[in-house]
Amino acid sequence: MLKRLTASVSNLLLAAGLGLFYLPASAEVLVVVAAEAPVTRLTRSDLRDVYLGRRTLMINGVEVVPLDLTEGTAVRSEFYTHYTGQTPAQIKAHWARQIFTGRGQPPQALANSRAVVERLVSDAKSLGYIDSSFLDERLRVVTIE
Amino acid sequence: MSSLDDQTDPEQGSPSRTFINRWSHHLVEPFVLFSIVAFMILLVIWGSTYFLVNKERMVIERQAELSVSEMTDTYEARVVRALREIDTALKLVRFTANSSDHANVLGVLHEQRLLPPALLFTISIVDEQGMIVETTDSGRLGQRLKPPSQAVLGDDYLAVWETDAYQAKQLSFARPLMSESKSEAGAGAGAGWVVIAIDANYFVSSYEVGSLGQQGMLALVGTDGSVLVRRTGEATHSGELMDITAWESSTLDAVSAPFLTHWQGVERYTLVRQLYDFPLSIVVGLSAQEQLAAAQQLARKYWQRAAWTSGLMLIILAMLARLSWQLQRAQQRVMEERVSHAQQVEHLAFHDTLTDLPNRAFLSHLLTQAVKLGTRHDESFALLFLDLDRFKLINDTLGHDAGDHLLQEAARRLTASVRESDFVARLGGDEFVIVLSRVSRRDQIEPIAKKILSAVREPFMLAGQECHVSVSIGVSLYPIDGLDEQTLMKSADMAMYQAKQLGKNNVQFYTDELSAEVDVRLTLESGLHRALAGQEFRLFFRSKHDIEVGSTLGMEALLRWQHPTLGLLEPAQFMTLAEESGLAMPIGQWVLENACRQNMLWQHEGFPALTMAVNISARQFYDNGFVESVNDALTATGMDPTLLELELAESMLLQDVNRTASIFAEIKKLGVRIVVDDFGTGYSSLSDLNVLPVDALKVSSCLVKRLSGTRHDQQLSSSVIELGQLLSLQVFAKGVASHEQARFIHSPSSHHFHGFYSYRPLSVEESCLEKK
Repeated sequence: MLKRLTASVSNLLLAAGLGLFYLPASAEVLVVVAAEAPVTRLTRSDLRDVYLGRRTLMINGVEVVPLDLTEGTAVRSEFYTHYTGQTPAQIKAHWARQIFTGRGQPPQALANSRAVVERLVSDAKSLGYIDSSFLDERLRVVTIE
Repeated sequence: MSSLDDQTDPEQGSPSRTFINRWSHHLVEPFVLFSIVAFMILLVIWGSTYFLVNKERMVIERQAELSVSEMTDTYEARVVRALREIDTALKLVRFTANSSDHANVLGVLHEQRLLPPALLFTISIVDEQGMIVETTDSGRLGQRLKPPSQAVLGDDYLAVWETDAYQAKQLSFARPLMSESKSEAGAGAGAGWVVIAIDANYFVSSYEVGSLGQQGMLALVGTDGSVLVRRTGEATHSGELMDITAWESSTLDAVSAPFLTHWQGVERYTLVRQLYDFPLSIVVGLSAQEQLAAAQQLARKYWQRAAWTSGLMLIILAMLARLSWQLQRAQQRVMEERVSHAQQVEHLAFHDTLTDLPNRAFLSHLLTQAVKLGTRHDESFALLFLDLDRFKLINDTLGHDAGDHLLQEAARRLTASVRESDFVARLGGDEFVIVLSRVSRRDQIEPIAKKILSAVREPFMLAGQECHVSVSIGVSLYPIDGLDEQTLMKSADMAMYQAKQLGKNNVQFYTDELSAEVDVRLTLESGLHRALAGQEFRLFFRSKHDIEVGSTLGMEALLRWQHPTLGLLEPAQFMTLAEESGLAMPIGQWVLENACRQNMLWQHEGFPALTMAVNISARQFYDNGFVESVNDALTATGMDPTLLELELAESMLLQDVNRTASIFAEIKKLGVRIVVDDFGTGYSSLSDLNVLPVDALKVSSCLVKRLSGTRHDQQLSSSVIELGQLLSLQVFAKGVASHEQARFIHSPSSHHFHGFYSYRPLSVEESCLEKK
């Protein structure tokens, strides 16, 4: 499963490298920022670290603030499975430990992709993931390497 | 035979000391020594391993206890903080709800991010009936929530209970909404609960397998001992009962000292701590088995190492032991070789190499022993001194190899002729000694001696020739003939000498007379040299008379030794000795010279020139320098050679007729006369005598006496004398006493002779008187 995902991601990267642009056919999770945001590309491990609260990511001296979706949404579980390789239950256990041991707080959770889009547009520091169908010109897709 | 020292050691240690000595001797044997060393090394290895393992175990136990107490501290802090946060959130919600009329209290607080993350914490507000009126989890809105307990509603305290949601254990914490404002708002108005539900796992999420292991334990326990949540490994449990009061009681005094508990089949170092301000206790446990696993592994490693080391050590020791054993063997072999070499050397030192018989040194030792034993046990023994006759001749004629062979064979025969208890030794040359033990009488010894004589008489095969050898034996007896080695040897030697004198091939026993004789002989022997130099020899003279008128025709010189202690000695008493000591020639020369000199003296004194007869011994006659010595004497004295008469015994002339003839011829060249002495006693071959140029004959006095005896005697004597007359010119009678001279001249026998010799020899002075 993970392998297959990795393969598809590398396909995507290959496509991006060739200068081709395409829209995914089905509901696709995209990591996005505001169009004017400094972040253009992130490594997979950077993304994972940011979302699991392992470290604070600074881009051009600006802290990148991750945004989460509330538990139980399909996009959320798709995102975590895709980019961190962990199930929502594992993510929950992770945060339980983080909070209990006083190491950090989970990202702010918004109810849906629309709310995320609104927040991203209003806050250039934010980083979020959305259903691809919510992608518009105010946003920029962050390339995940 | 090989060991000379057969005496037992009188120094015997005490029994215990010998025992210890014996054992200490065994200690240095490789097997015992290496076994002991191996045992001690094994003891050290396994002892130290046991000590190390035990120490490691104790260290790890101590460490486990320490980490339990540290983890408890940490866990306690975390739980307390978490609970405070929850309580704070509850109080915040209540405060907000009470102080504002917002319909959506939670929404406002959420907007302000004052609530704990909705991901884990579900915050609800329930009314008195337990209906959820507001919640962060929209899915639960309108559900009924079972309140903790009706009885406690109204009392402001933190309630804790368990619930189930989404198939997961949750812990709910609640505070009543109404509290301080209760009196103002009136009963029931807006009353209800603020509840925070959280996954029970949250409280045990700090469990780390890395530090707590698979069998460790983190637990949150209620005051009644019911387990709210417990995590062991990856699994969480709840609803169990834990007898924490019992565990707590034991740790009242020492808060941080863990207690070893048995719970659900697992042994743990456990620490229970009641939380301050909350109706909860925490329990932290570390599995003893897991914690000690490392120690056990280490122990296993140590034991293994010990086993390997022991094995290696044993192998090395075994090899060393083997080497050592081999070394010891080699040393032993060297020692044995040395001992055998020493024995060989000893054997060589005490045995004759040719015959392998004991040599003189060993004989001396054996004799000393025999004398000692004889003294102690009052036993007698005999010493036989043997000398092979004719050995020198064989050695000279057949060579040394034959001589050696003869000695070996003789040694064999001698050994075979005596008993086992007797022994035969070789003194050197052809001399042997036999010691016969436990014999005391001649009749015991004689058979053995005879046996020896006949054994030696058996022909020897030497260098391909059959040789006949005999032996002369002298016997001395212990203790009669001597009490010590030297005396016994000397006595036997004397007896042997006597045996030689008596014609060899016989046995003689030592007697005291023999000793006396030998004493005389020794006295003479030592005196001979002195005699020659010290003018102890004298010449006596016998006159030769004409038969017709009785006038003196010549003189015969006779040798006498005027011995200072023994008196006047005749040649028979010392000439054999002189021959043995090589003095025969010098003495003969002396006689010749002095006889001639005396003759010349007499002539100078005015006496008429008389013939001078000198007796010549066989040894002298056959000596190569004899003729020359005669010539020397004549030249030295200036005597007329025709006056000198050499008297030779008939028997010795015919030993070697050719040689005699050649010597006679030379003598005749000098002009010296030759007289045959003792004619008629040698039974000589007449034909041989006939060829020799003899001038005169002397008939022995016994024949002369017989002329006046029986008829038969007369006939026999006269025919012998007539025979002499046929062979020679002149015949003289020997040994006529002076008072008989006149009668002899006138007797009928006188016509047989030309003259006669007087019976009694006279000294020079007497001779002079007589002549006058």
